[in-house]
Amino acid sequence: MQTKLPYIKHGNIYFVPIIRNHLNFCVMIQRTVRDLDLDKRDLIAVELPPSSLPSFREAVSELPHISVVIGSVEGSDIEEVMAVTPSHGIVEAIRLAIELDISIECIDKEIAPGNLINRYCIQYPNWPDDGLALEHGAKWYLNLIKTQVSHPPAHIDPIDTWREKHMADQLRRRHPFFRKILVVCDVAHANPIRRFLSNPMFHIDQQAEFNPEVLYRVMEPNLKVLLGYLDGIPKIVEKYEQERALGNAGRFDKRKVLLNIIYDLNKKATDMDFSIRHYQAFAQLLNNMLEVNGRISPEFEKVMVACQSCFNKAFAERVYRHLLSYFGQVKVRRVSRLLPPNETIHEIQGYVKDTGRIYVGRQCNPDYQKYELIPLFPDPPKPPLDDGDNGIAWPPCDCFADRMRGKAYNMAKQRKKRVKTFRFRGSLESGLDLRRTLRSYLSHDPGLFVKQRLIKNTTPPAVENEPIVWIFKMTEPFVPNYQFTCGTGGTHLGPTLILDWRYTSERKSGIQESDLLVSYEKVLGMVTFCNLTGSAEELHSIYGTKLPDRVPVYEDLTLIEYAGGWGDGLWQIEDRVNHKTPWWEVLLLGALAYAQRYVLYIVPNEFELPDRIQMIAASQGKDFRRVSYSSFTEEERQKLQVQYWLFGRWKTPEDSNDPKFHDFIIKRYGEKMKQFWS
Amino acid sequence: MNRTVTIEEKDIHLAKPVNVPPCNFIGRDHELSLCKMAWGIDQHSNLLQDSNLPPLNFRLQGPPGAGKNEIVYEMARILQMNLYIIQGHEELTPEDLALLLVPLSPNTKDDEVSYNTPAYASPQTLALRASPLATAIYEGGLFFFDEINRVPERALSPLSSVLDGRQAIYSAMTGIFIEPKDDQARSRFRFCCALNPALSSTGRVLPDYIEQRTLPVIQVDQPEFEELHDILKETLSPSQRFLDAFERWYNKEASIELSVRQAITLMSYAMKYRDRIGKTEEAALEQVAPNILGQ
Repeated sequence: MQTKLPYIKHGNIYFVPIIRNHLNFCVMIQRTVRDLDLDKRDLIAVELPPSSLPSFREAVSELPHISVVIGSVEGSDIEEVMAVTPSHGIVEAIRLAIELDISIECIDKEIAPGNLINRYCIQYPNWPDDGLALEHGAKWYLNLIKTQVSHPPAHIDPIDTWREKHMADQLRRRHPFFRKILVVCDVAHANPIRRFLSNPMFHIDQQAEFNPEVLYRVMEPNLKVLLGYLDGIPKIVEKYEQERALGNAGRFDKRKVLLNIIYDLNKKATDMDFSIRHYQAFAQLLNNMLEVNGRISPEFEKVMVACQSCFNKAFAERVYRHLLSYFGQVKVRRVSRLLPPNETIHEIQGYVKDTGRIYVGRQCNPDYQKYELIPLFPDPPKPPLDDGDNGIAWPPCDCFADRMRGKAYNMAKQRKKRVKTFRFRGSLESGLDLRRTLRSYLSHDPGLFVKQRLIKNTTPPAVENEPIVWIFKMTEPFVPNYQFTCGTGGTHLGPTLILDWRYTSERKSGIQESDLLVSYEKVLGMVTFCNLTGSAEELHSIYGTKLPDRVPVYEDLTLIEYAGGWGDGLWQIEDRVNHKTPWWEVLLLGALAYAQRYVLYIVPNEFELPDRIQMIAASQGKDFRRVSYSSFTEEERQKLQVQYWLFGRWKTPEDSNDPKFHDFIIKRYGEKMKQFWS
Repeated sequence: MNRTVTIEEKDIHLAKPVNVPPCNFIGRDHELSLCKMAWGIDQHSNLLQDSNLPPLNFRLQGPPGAGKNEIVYEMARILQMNLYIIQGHEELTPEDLALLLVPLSPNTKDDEVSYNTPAYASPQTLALRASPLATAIYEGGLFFFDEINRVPERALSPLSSVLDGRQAIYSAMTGIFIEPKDDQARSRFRFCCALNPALSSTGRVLPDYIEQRTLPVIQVDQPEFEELHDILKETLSPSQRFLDAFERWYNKEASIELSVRQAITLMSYAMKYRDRIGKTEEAALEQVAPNILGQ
């Protein structure tokens, strides 16, 4: 009868066949130990040479910090590598043995690394998901892959048969002395060992002593090892470690954990304003992807494709970095180009070239992740340091805001058409309204209806270089923890220009590193008086002598009273605001003060321009022009509602909008900012 | 074929599905794979999978001529299901998505809708006609909303009840809900849409509630040259010399982003030009390119 047990019973010996560095097998080992209730009377036997155990104990004591155990023979360039990671089943077995005070023995044969030279690894693209082993049991899974694991490169003769006989012999010697023996070995060896146990043979080789020639030592792994031996998604291994510490390792579910990770990232992405629908679509798409590919465990590439399709590029970048990070040992900066989604994201090199040594292993992982490390461009030279921290708005944000200003101008210039329908009065006007006519027959009041197209006779306003007011959300007249802030420009020699004026939240931290702080503000509303990326020279050429009347300067700021108390405002509107004035009226009045003829305002549909504001505008010979808020995509609105700031120790140039300086900032910090701005 | 049904005691003429021509579809494996995953289609058997979760309503985004429509046609060919299409435009109204009132010639049989008899020739009766969307919902077919961002926001509001679990559309004119005729139709209905995101600069954008309901977004960019080459070969069967000339011309004009539509038109015109005028293949391409690409 097929059962879903995580082990295969053979007398009092219990096999858990594993694939190295696949986390699900660690979960199977946890479940096995729990189900069998192993204690001091039992033994855990692992597929390692005995002389390596001290090094493994040392490396295991460093977990979750990952190390590699290197076995070498003096005078040989060939070394055996074994990564010690939480996702390795043998490591899990050793850890459990130490934690539960169970005897542990290494039963594999002592082999010099040079004898492993003929082993090569290939990738099986359709290798069955190891999640199936958790779902259907060890025996079922082993049966599924038995053909693949009985041939090269998974099983290479004569060396593997030699090892299996040896391991069976070791188990045969030990099983009378222990209540139960848990054997953790590679999937390729489980069945052969069981066969040898059932059919005892003469011992051909007895090696009771350690091989004094092979020395094992613990070393720090390189990045490729780290990424390659963490089961595809290092963050999931980190979560496993955390759950393991809480005693929940036996219930660990990779798919659920991944969905929780994405959900948490989604919740924390307050600068991106995703709705729950985005997450639901992501979860469902990922689910469908796994189902159609016959998988239970998520794959990194599929997760990234689903993220990009259901969220946006900046969030996908954030997910990418987060999933590839592992405690403090792997901190990701982009190490490869994002290849087309139908290729693996990375490709592996055969062995580490930089040392000139050849590394071999006892077993191949049929499903290893491939990574390519492309040499990064050297960082641009560091700028001369300044004393204080200088801040700058992320230049692409300003470029984007300028593009949206251009779009708003275009929308304002479009002629507005309106169509009116009324009953036929003798003239066909602009033609029959067929629908209305036909519907009137249904309503038993039949008649002929005609259309009249009304086009506003007024010439569209020549709206250029005027202030634009953006109100993104209608709220209470003041919002706690929100304040008026401004973005400045200009040169050191001239007055500091106020390019935009915003009603923003407190600054929230994005990332904080030794030489850079990224923070962001949520924006409820703002006025852009001019283009935000224009240099002082450009602004002078646009506005000429009227620049002081069109763009406020820092000296124009004063404390004004509004519904939220006191805040930074423009002196021109001081008399027009009081403790009852909502924040949006403050912005509208500020824009009006610096308009030549028109103020564009982009607001939600429910917004009504207050009468008193209109009267003030009329008294000044100015007018408000509304641009439909729904003319902007959700992504455009979301981007306008967040302002990113960078703080670092660079020397601010004479003109803060110097294009060369902007280029420098973008080049230097572009990679880090990809997780915020796409 | 009887295309008239009765819903809540009202006779409604159903729309006709689009005639999807047979075609040897080339490339776009990744995009097709994503479409299948969004709709819950088994990758190997190409059958709709039984699932408790409603299918996703994916949105194809890309520049004109990239192949968005062809991807949908190919999905219809794979699934061998009826495909219904609405072409979005600025004059669309909410009624266009549900039920329309159309004149019915009295000379036709009761179960046919015919426009052959001029309206003035004999007294007219009116009939209710289901839109392609309403028909797809009722019958459980595939529905494709092309250029959805051209449609005024108010015309899209009936979609909110289609794109969530309700799968129904309300006809304000008749006061009835068009729902799937049975559970099988409900489980088979699939929705997708397409838009050119560049139109957002002119204010043609999707409202939030539709954007969030039409996920995932599947980007359809202009294909790589190899795919373009194969499409031209399959569509027009040009000579190898012409294909080589096209490749040389394409490499020379490296800055141009050529859509599939433009490439087919260019090649077709160049072939005809060469046949008539008799220049070399490359000269023909050079000659006609400004006419097609507007340089």
